[in-house]
Amino acid sequence: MNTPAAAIAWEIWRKNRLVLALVTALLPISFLLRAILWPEAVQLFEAFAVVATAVILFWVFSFTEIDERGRHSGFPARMFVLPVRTVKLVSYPVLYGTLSILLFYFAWVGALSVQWNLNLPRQTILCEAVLPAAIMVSIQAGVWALHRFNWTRMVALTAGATLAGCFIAFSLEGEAWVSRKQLTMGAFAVLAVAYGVALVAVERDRRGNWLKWLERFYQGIFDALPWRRKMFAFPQQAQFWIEWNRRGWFMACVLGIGMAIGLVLLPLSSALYLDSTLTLINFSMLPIMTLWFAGVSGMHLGRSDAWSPEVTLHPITATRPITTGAVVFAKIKVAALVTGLGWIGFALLAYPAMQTVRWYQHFNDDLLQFWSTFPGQHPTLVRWAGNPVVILTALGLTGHGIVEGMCPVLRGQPRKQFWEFALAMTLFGIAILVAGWLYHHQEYMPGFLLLLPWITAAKLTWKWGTAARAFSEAGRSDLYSRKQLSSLLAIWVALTSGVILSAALACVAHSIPVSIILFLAVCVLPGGELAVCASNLAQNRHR
Amino acid sequence: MKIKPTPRLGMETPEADASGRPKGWTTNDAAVIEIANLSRRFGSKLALNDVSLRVPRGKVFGLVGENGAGKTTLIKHLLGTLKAESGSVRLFGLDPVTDPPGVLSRLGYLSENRDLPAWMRVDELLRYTQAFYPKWDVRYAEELRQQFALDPQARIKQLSRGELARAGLLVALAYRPELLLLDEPSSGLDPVVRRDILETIIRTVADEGRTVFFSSHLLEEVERVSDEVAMLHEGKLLWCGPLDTIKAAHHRLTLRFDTPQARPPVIPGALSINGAGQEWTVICNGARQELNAIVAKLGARIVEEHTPSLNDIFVAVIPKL
Repeated sequence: MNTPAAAIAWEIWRKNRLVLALVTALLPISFLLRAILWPEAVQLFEAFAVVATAVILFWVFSFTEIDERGRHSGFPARMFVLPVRTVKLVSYPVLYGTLSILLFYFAWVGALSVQWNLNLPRQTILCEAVLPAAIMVSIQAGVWALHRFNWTRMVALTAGATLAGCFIAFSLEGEAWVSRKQLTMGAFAVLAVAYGVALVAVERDRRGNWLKWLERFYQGIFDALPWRRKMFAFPQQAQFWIEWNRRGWFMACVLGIGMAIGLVLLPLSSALYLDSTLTLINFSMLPIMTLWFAGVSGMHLGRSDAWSPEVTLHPITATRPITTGAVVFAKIKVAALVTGLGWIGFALLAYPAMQTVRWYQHFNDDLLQFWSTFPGQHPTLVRWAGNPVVILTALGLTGHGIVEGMCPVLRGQPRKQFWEFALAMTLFGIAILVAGWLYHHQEYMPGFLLLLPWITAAKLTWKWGTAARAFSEAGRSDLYSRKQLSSLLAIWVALTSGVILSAALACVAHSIPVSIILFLAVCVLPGGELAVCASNLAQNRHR
Repeated sequence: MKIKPTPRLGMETPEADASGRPKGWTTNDAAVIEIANLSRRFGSKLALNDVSLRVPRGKVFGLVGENGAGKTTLIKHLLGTLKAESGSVRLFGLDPVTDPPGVLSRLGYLSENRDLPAWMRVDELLRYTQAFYPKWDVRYAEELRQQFALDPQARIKQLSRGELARAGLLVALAYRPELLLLDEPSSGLDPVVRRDILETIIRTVADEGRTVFFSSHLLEEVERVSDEVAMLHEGKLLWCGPLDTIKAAHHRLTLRFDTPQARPPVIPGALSINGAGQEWTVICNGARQELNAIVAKLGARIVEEHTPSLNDIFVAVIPKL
């Protein structure tokens, strides 16, 4: 290792060897699965593997390091003092990233072509290979250029990814709009521009003279914003303020936008002429997206400072004379406020989201009438969803979704959290696989429906058992005051009752088999998370 | 190779008496901090090894030790952010893990890393902290803010390291806590600020009958302000006791031999021996009379004698271990 090129390559490998090994293993695993699983399952796994590999490679080769004060994650500043020219410092990670993504693309295209007897034209392969390479370099440029502006970087990368995704999807779909050759040339141009931006950004950052104007601009805005000048009446109010600040509005926006995205997806059922089962699954995207974004907001809320990589409880909270239960309560209050504001945001975004039905117009001309005919086509669903009990339960479950996302993060053990998340995702994946398999093998459905009540009963027993244990341990541990624990218990009872009542209302409608409704109801029933939050935070506070 | 430190005359690790309290302390001293047999392991590294100490009320207690000796780990146990794996920690007779509000409401803490939320303004930090302490003294806080020359509108992330330390010190002091815990308080402060502000504050706090527990690398500073000192080495407590007693137990002698010595003389209890030829400087501990006899037996005479500084003792002790 006597060259900068080798040293940088070694560093990337050394820091990410496990995840890179995992990514490499996904391809042979997909071949292995083909021998033991049915084709739909293998396709689902391969879709997951391709997306996961791409995301991991983008992540690994963004090549960042957190600065000494733990605030920003950008191009490693320690490398600025090395006797190496900036062009080399930048070019090696760019080169390795590009080569890796090309290798990944060709390996998967080769494998899939063999597996599924595909014969892709050369122009398509060239185009599809250059696109991820351009995306890789663009991400690197964005991550390095905007590293001191977390929000701006996140918004810029998200907006860039969405626009690029839409543009590529529509370009690949409609040959008339832009040819593959033009798309390939465009991707090459983006790659070159992104490389130039990365070079200039890192070079000027090395001299400490990068985007000062943007910093001054933001400083001006922040200085103009109102700030807290009033005294806090009591410690809990101060704790709520510190928990809400810098992320409350952000989480509410995430939730509202996430729910609106769920609404955008609903017309897909008509656009793709889905049958009743798939329509039901498509409609479930709205609650799934809501709970998913609520969980993501909760993961954000679980950390002391969501914008910092530090996972331990911030000393400013850990060393204040306030009980762990009171800290959790402040977070739960933030979750409630985020839920309310998120739903208000959803209500405001609902109309524009419904107008996106025009996007699907080329699938089906009747889609413009989708929303006006919706109540007539799905009267039972509309009546059920309009019931105040169902609406209140949905609000409650959204708030509880935030708590569920927050609960494991409070522990401050990212590895444990990762494995719990991986387990949950695996179980979710298995459920999807089973559902997919049953959809293609309807003859097994009656048998499955006989089995489902037993699965439901087992899940209910486990969920209520863990909830009972969690509340009893919380009572013994004294982390919550008696009043706090009673409030949590009341929330739990109200939410459980709401879910049961909503399920009963759905059963009365007779649109879906009762066993499926009960299973879904048990899935969304609250467990012991409300009670466990304090013990998890206590583990973080007293390590 | 690790060598187990051997207790030396006058600087033994405190032994517990029948009541569990370290020997040598009078029972009428109200202890603010009591640590008994505290051990902590991080993976394979033993960060604290059977540490026992007691800090009496109204004293300035300095904790010294090289990097990685376990000073911050010990302070985190006092705060309750680390839970004792074995042994016990009591502040004001309370366990900081089971009763955080009870303990934390009575102590002020300045962390080594000056962990303050970067997004807050100084004024917001003061208001936020004030909410937790009913005894917050608004006038005193304002006095300190002016003394520390902190702009109330400045954001924490815009503060220099020294200003950060001063902001941290301000919020740790403004409610006049019974115990002030300072982890490397001098880090980032320039010498003038260190001497004029920090040391003055530490002495003032102690003079008001409150207690200060601080860790530092700067042994001169520890020596200037501390009443009692403890030294940690690789997680083990080497000394603990009044500074004067520790210093009195050590001697810095200059020996002159009649003939040049090719090798350093062998003196039992010597912590360090430096020199060449006829003149050698020895830092040792032990009874003074015994030393005279040993020196005479070696054929040398003591030409100079000083009480060693804490720094001399520290530098002499560490390489021996």
